[in-house]
Amino acid sequence: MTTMIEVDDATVRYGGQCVLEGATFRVQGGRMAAIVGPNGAGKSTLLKAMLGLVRMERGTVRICGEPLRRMRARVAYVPQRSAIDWDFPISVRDVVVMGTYASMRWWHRPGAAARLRAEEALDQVNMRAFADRHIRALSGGQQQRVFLARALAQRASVIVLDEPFAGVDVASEQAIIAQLRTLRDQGVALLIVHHELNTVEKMFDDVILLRKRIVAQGDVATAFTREAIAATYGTDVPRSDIVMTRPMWARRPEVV
Amino acid sequence: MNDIIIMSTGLLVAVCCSIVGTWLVLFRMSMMGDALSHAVLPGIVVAYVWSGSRDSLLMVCACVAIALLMMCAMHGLRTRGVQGDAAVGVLMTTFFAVGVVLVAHFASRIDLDIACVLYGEMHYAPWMRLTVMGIDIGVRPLWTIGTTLVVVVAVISLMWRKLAWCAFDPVMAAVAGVSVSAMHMLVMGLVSVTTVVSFESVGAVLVLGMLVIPPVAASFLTRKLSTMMVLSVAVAAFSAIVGNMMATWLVASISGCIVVVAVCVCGLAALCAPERGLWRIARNSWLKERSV
Repeated sequence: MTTMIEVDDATVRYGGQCVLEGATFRVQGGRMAAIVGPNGAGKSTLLKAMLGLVRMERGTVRICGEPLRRMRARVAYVPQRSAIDWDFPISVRDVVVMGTYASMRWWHRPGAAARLRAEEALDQVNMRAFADRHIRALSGGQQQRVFLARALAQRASVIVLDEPFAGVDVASEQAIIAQLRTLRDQGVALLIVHHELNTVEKMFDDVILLRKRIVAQGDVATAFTREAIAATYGTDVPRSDIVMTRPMWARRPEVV
Repeated sequence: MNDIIIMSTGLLVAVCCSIVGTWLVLFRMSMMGDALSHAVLPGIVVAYVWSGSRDSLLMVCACVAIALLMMCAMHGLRTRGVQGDAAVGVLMTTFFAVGVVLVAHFASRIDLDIACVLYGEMHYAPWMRLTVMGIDIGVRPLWTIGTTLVVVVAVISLMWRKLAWCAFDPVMAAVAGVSVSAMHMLVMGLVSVTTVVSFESVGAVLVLGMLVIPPVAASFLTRKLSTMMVLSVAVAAFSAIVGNMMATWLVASISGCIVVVAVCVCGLAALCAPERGLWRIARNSWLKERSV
């Protein structure tokens, strides 16, 4: 088992205010890790710092033992839905082909090999039939599957997902989890921001509890304790009471 | 012969603007383009007074410098809590007002009046000659706009993938190590260069129409990036040719006629587009109602 993600002492300040302090963690290849914490705990900031999108005050990030800037092509990121321009004129297939851009020299053009990789990736998430549709003409869950396919086409060793299950119907959630598990079994390291406490144990191998600093981390069985959760969310209620219900918009039925 | 020169000037301007404009629209920076096209005025005047002619490289450089200055000021205002559109309003009028004052002040020294600044004048194109070392090598607007077109096409085809990436999913592009702000700068740079060289022909106001209307018309008709680019150029070329004929017929401003034709094409596309046209949407909802 190799260490894929090494983050040491990651500290981020926005305008003098410390939003992330001394986060140190490891994710092994073949593990699925959740980042869990209340709103404003710095989950997204941690991801952004790790991916070099915000400047860290101090701290280092190593991917597969190398500095991030040399390993960018091996890191895939599945963004929050709000980061995408949904009106952009692009088909599902072209979104997935974008995954192959990362390992391409800048004067290269995506050729037949890239398109083949995209088709395979679409097959894996069962979205081949939608390849020629515009990205907007899909349901939230299908869109999320397309972005997962893009990460597959990239053949990344590390995949980072920011709330992939927000606004996703149950069928797509199952499909995404199944695909993520396959990736994990192939040795990919997965780091996922998650906000539903009641599914953490069922879905993940490792957990990182975050509240500006890392409260607890490690195997779900040992780190995801009632005390740790209480310390993270600042309450002392039993775990079953802080379980969040699915918000209304997440119950949208699958549109096929 | 002169008619052909005027026609080709219009055609080159329209095509060049529509290519750059497609990316301007895709990056959702159209109002920035409007601001830029007005803000370059002080740059043009200063360069004109300095060099004594309109055809200098200095003018292009001055305008790109002004464009950069404006983008920095924009960034400064926005990070201090001024809303984006308010910042555009403030900066655009500031720069343009300075330009207008400069034009009036130097009126005796430069051949540039406010009407020309606003609407441009294409009729005189055949008499603007470009001389290199005393030899007349042809019509200046054709040379400048032609060169710009070549540069624009070269830069955009080299950067195509990165531009698409940054416009569609800037976060992933940044993760992959592409500088999103550099791509924004690139688009704004191309817009300012295009604006400067089209300035004499179409003016500061109508150039925005040439930048934005053809891609908007194209976006009604397709949802594929490369097709959108081709359609946008086609709309621009069509408007340039028909607009030119219309201007001769009506004895009106050529640039005005080109934009009017482009708007008509855009309106037609909005009404009759195969998938998202108003007619189609109305028909679909009528059919749905009837079936219920």
